[in-house]
Amino acid sequence: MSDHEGLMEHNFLIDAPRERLGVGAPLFEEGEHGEELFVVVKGRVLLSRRTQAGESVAVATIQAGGVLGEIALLQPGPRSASAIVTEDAEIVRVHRRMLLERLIGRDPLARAFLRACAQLLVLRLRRARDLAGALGAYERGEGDAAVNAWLDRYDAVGDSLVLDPLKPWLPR
Amino acid sequence: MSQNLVAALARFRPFSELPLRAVADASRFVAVQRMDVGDTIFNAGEIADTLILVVSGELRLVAPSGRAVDTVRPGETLGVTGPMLPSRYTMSGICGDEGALILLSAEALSTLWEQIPPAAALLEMAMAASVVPELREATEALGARLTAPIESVRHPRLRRALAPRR
Repeated sequence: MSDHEGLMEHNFLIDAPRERLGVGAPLFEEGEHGEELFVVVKGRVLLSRRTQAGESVAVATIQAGGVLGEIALLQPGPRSASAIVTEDAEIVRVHRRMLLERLIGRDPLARAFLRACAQLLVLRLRRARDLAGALGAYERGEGDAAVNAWLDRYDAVGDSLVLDPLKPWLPR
Repeated sequence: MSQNLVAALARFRPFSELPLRAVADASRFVAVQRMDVGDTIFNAGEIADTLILVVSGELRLVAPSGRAVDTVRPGETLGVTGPMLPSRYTMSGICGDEGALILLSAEALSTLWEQIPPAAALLEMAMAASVVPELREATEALGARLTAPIESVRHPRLRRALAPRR
C-alpha cells in the first residue's frame, strides 16, 4: 500500500477531525452514492464487492495508512464496493466539497493532495493496461514472460491496486 | 476572448464537465496552434506536460520504430493529465492532415492557478476525474478477460496473486 501512504503523508490531513469506529461499522455500501475519500489512520477496513451471481467477495483489506474512495472523491457516483471496519479504526473523511473549497482558497496542500489522488488513479490505469497487454501476449501463445515481468515489477503494490478490483470476476 | 474558442473548448473533455464561466476563464490561458501535414507536434521522449485538443485535422502517433500506431481525430483529446502530472511521450505526434489544435501547458495551468483559482480547481478536478471512466473500463475488460478465455487464470503466478487473502 505504499502508493496510498503517499496520500497519508500530506499535511493537508494533519488537522482533519478523526472519527473512531468500532468493528462492524459500515463506511459505505456498494451502489450507494459517494463523494468522500476515507483515510484509515488506525485499524482495518474490509472492502467487498458482489459478483454477478450476487455473492459477496472480499477484495481488499485497507490497513492503517491506506485510503479508499478516491474515485468517488474525484467523480461522485455509486460506490463500486462496500467497506466495513474489521479492527477498531480511526478514520479521516475528505469530502469533495471540502477539498474544492480548500483548492479555491489557494491551499497548496489541497492541490498536492488532489495531484496525489490523480497520480494514484493514473498509476492504476497504466498498470491495468500493462497487465492487459501482458495477458494478451500470453493468450496469443507468446509465453508468460510479460505476465511474469508485470508481477515482478508490481509485486509489492500492484497486486492491491490492480488485482484486487478484479477478484469479483473470478469464478470460485 | 473569443466566444468561438469558449464554444470549441466546451466540446472537449475535461472542459465539457465545467461550468461555462470556468471554461471562459480557462480559455484565456490556452493556445491555438495551426498544423500542416508532416509537422512534428511532439517527439517521443519529450516531456508530456500539455493537454492537446484536436479541433480539426489529424494527429498521427508514430512509434520510435516509425510505425504509425494511432490517429487522434477532431473532437479527441491527448494527454488529459499531462499539465498536472507530466510524463514523457512514448510516441511522436505528427500532423497527418492539416488543421488546428488547442493546447493547455503545465505552465499555463500554473498561471491559471495564480490568477483564477476557482477555475483552476474545477479544471484540475475534472482532469483527475477523466481518468476514472478509462480505469473502470480497463478493470472491467481485464476482469472479463480473466474469466472465460483463459479458464480462470491459467497463469500460475497470476492465479496465486489473485487468490483471496485471509
